[in-house]
Amino acid sequence: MILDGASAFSDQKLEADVCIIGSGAGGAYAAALLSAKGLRVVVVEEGPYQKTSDFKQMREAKAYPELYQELAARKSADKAINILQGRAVGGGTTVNWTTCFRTPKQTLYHWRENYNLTFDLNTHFDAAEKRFSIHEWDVPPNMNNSILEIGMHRLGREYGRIKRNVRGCYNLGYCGVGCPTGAKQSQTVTTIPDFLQAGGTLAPRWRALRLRHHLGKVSRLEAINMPGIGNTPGMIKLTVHAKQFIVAAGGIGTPSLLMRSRINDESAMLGKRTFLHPSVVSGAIFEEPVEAHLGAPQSIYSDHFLWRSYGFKLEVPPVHPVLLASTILQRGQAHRELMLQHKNMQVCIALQRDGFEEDSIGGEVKLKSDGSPVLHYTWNEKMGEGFRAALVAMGELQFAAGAKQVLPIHSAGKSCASMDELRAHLNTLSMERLKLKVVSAHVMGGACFGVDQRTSVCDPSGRLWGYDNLQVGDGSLFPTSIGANPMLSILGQIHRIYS
Amino acid sequence: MMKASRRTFFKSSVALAAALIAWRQGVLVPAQNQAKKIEVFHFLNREDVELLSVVLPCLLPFRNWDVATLAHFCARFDGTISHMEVEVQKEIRQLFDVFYIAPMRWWLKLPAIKKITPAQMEQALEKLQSSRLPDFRAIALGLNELVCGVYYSDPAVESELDYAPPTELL
Repeated sequence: MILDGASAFSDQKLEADVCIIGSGAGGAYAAALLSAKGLRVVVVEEGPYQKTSDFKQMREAKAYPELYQELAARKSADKAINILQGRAVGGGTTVNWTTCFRTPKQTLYHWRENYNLTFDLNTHFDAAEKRFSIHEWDVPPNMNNSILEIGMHRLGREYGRIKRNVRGCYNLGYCGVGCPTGAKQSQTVTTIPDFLQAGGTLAPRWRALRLRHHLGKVSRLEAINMPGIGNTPGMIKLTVHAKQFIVAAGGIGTPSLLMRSRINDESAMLGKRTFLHPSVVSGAIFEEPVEAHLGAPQSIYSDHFLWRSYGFKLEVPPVHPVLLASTILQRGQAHRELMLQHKNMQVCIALQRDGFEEDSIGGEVKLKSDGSPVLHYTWNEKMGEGFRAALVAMGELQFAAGAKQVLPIHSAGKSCASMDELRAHLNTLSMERLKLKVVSAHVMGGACFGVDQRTSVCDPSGRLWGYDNLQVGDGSLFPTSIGANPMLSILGQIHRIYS
Repeated sequence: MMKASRRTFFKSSVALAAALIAWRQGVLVPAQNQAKKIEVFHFLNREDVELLSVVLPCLLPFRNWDVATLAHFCARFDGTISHMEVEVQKEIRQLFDVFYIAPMRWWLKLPAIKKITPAQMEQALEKLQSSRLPDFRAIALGLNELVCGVYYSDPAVESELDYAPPTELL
């Protein structure tokens, strides 16, 4: 059953065995696994339920307001970091770029050594990879990705191919605005139909307001409908009574719901240690067309620099006009000239691995006066030096692959025609916040699991310490960032907990 | 007697000041806001449109910003912002209001909104963007991002970039 908040005209009450808040990688997969066990599951989602047929326009102007948090313009509290997060049925899986990595063994080692968390996830990753058709992408990479491959190859540096969750992909390059062919194996074409077929209830366009609880037991969820364009809550209430509650509202949504619900958190860690993989951007102009908006967005990566202090993973993003226009920091004619060169522009991103160093504490989710969340991210000098190293590394590979000019995306950034010039230029640039463009598409942590209730919000099964029937089921559980795109890490953990 | 009259005078002055403030906030400011309102827009008011008319030639100088082009842009801009959450709209309102605060305009060396030239606006944005204060840098970057984001989200400008989604492949 689908109970759409946009078309509800009276208060609604639902009863279930399990109520899941959020329908992204974690929530929808948990819903499918629990429904398959015969449990009655209700999934409450703030965003709309859009299907493949709704994505045929392939336009950023349509997708960003409908499928992303805050029209894809969510930012950290100081406005220094742009945060791309999905807000639709399927969550991030509806709009991500189909990039799949297992949790790196170095990350699992770090968790074992520092948090006493020992996970053997191989069987769970196998299961998730099978379920979501995650496999090697055997089509040649597009030019944007090829340049990363060629550059790293010529420099003798390590790189690899990315696995993708697709079946019969048309290689269009519009994954970020919702897959128009249904090839992407997002939750909307995999687990959501399964869970609905098993008798589950999907409640899109309802904003979860708070969980009501007493003496360590949650009795109900209160939500409010999101009618019209979905930016303002309506007047109609939804109450879900359930035996078990799983909060899977994403890296900022989950801690904020728990905070609004005044959940007792003895560790005082709720909302803290929220990580982003803060990423810096380098643009390069090539003689021949790159057409970085066409073809599978991400098929090549490099971990060559990942495991050093404040290390980074190298990937490329698709280059669509709005994404590019809002990333370039130049103004006026300079901005226009770069926009006009978009067909010949290759773009690299370096995703910094945050949360592994003692002084890398990430961000803290706080509530505004109206109860909406905001992320305060802590910037430090070493991060800045990591960004500088990343811009050098990206410039090196772009020049090695034949770039005519390289432009670090910085408010004082200038196009450089050689590596020496770029290196000298980067040494003059300040790596302070709001001078450098920093973006993120991976929000993790904020309700971390651990074995000690004094230092973690949840136990290793995601259950909140002190609560019988309340679990977290998304990337908020991670005690550090992953060091790789987190979707498969979330799926693996959900399979471990709920299978 | 003298003391009592002074106290009474003081009290009545405070009461009068409070009443004036209440009248200003409760009657005058809403009335001014109402007067500035443009019926077809949800977010933009007359002052905002005047501000955009000087910001646009600075941030998007390659277009001829005649009345029709400005009106088209304002409609799209207003539509985009009115899709945002109320809290985000409040932040964007603050972003605009920066340019209406007289001491701020004095610091940025900007005359009254209607008299600002693109060159003066460019200098003001440069001053904000190169400021030591992150909040000022956020204003300049935020305005640029917002204006450019709205402009390039218009399907009508895709041809300028030779960009088109390959819908024929579906």
